[in-house]
Amino acid sequence: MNGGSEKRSSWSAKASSAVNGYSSKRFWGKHLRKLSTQLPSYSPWTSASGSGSTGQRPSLLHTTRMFILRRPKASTFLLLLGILLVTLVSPFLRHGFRSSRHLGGGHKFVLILAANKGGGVMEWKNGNQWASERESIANKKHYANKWGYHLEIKDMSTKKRYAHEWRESWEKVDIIKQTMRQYPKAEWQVSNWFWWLDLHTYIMEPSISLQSHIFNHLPKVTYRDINIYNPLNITHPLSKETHPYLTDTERSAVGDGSPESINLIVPQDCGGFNLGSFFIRRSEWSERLLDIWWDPVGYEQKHMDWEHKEQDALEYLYTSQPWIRTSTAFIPQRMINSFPPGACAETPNDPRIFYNEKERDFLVNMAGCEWGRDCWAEMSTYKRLSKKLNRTLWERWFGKKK
Amino acid sequence: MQFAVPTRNHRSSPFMFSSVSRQLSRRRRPLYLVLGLLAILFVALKLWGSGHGLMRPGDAPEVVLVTVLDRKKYSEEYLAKVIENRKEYATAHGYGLFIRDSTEYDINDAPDGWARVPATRHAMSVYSYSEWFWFLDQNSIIMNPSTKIETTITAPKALGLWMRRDVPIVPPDSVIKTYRHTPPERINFILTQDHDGLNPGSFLIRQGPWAKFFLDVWMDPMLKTYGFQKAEQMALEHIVQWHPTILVKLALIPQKTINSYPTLPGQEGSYTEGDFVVHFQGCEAPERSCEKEFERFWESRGRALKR
Repeated sequence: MNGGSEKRSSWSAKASSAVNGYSSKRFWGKHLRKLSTQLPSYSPWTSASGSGSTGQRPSLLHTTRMFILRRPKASTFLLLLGILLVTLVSPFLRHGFRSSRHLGGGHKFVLILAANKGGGVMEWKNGNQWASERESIANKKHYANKWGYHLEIKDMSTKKRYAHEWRESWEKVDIIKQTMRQYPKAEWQVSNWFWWLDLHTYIMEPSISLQSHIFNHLPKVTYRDINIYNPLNITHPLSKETHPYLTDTERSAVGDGSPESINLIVPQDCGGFNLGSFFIRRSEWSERLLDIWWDPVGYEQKHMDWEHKEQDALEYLYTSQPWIRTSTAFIPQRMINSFPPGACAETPNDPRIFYNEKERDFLVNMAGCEWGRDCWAEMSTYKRLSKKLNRTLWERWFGKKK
Repeated sequence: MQFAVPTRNHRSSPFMFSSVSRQLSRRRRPLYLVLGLLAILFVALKLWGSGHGLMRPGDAPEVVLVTVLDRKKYSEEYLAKVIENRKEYATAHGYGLFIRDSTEYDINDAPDGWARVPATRHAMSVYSYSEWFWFLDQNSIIMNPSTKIETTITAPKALGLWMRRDVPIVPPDSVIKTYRHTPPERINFILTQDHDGLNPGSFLIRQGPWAKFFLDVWMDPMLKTYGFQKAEQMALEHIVQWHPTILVKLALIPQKTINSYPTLPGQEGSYTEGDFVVHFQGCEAPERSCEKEFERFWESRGRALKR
């Protein structure tokens, strides 16, 4: 309180000196001068009793200068102390800033990382599996911390959690539902994006935030018309002949075209939708989708054909139920889900699919590395590459040369 | 430049007020003008923008009556009576009327009853500003046309009284029951139950994203081709029981409110005089005849007052 009143009185001293002395040429000074020519002699800052201190008090700047001149050692010490404090506190400040609602907005994003897939009952993990899991988790932790996002590491180990085994390996849907329930404070209206990440993914460019990479320019980086890249040859948009009962918006190739109606952002690889890395927004729409994603009738009829479970089911729902199209957007695969060579063996030369070092792709998904490839080798290669690409200037000049 | 009379400035002016304000306002006038125009534009855009989409045109009916006709199996004479009955009711209350042929909808080889689902969705696309859509099966008569849907059934106060809470979806003892505490304002789908399950012969549905979602799920090709014993009715029971986002929007109301059956001794839900609707559920069975049963009730129906 003391400091406040001191500051105010010094301000009043300055202001009133400007008024009385006709010295200031700035706006307020000019304006006040005009006022003073018209009105008796009233200034809002001079106290009515007229304490007589106007113009007598030395300014703060003056005091500081005198202090530095008189006590140079003490002032150097104070300066150093200040710098030290700022360096110590700034990481916390930055985290608070980035996760806060009004400034950085990082709290709106939740990363869901699926760990321990198939572990527990099926088999023991070997050393390399442990290691790659550790690397993957550390990578996401670092990224989430840096930008103030939430991170949820979910245990995917196969358990007898359901009354029947039908639902096995459909846990993705249940985990997203459960995670959404875990963050209930988020309002419906504020966009709340949940980012699903498979275990064998690596964020190559942690210095890029999700906001600047995707969400600040959603209409530019996503596309609504699946015909832009349509490996499954899904008929789109729906025609008037087959679907006479829909509205024009529902039959349009781009839905209503507004970024606000996007609730699901999915990348596509050579074989169709890829759910190794995708975004879903908390909304009534997504609650409905998560609810009907698994249905026993669909399961009974299709579980033999649906090799990729939820992924195939989502493709089916997208194809057969128009309400899903109007809220789904696609994102070019390399924005959030680049493949290493080896995945998508059918189309080895497609530039839209594979990781490109020169263009600094954001994330690598070592999809399918469990089947006949070496996950740990791939993970460590990409980790090293990411480190190399993101060296600081210092490391670049003085680091070890290879 | 030379002027006949020297311009006034604050030094030469005899008037005090001219010294400041004239100079200021003269210099700023274009700016004020632009700012004012911008403000007006902003307010206008705001008003127009908020009205757009929310305000419905004055002539949009509050309720739309939907019926699907089967011209393959029924005589024109019979269907003409059905249409007359619907028209009389709809015009009396200013409701929309949406009558379509079942052949208009491509439902593959699924039973004809399925056409009601795309037809209802179609009605929503056409009457995009109406709130409630009442589907009524072709084989039924509106017996008491003085009933007003929006006051006696869908109004939250009325619905709150009608809603049957905590009752099994499929009687007598299915595990899934209607929710106990859903407020009537949040209900989007109203239908009745007969002795063996949900009956989609007469239902009300509120327009909105939920309705589109629900109708799309209901007519999913996989459910249509699954070969449920009673087609769209079983499919409905299935999705209601498996998916809480659907169950939570559903209200069961007493059968006699919108779906009485022709008199069957000793059974609940039998038609008595004054009931809103009689629905000849199951009249397509070989031992019954829809047209004959229809005739029996046709003359005794109440007539709507002409508007």
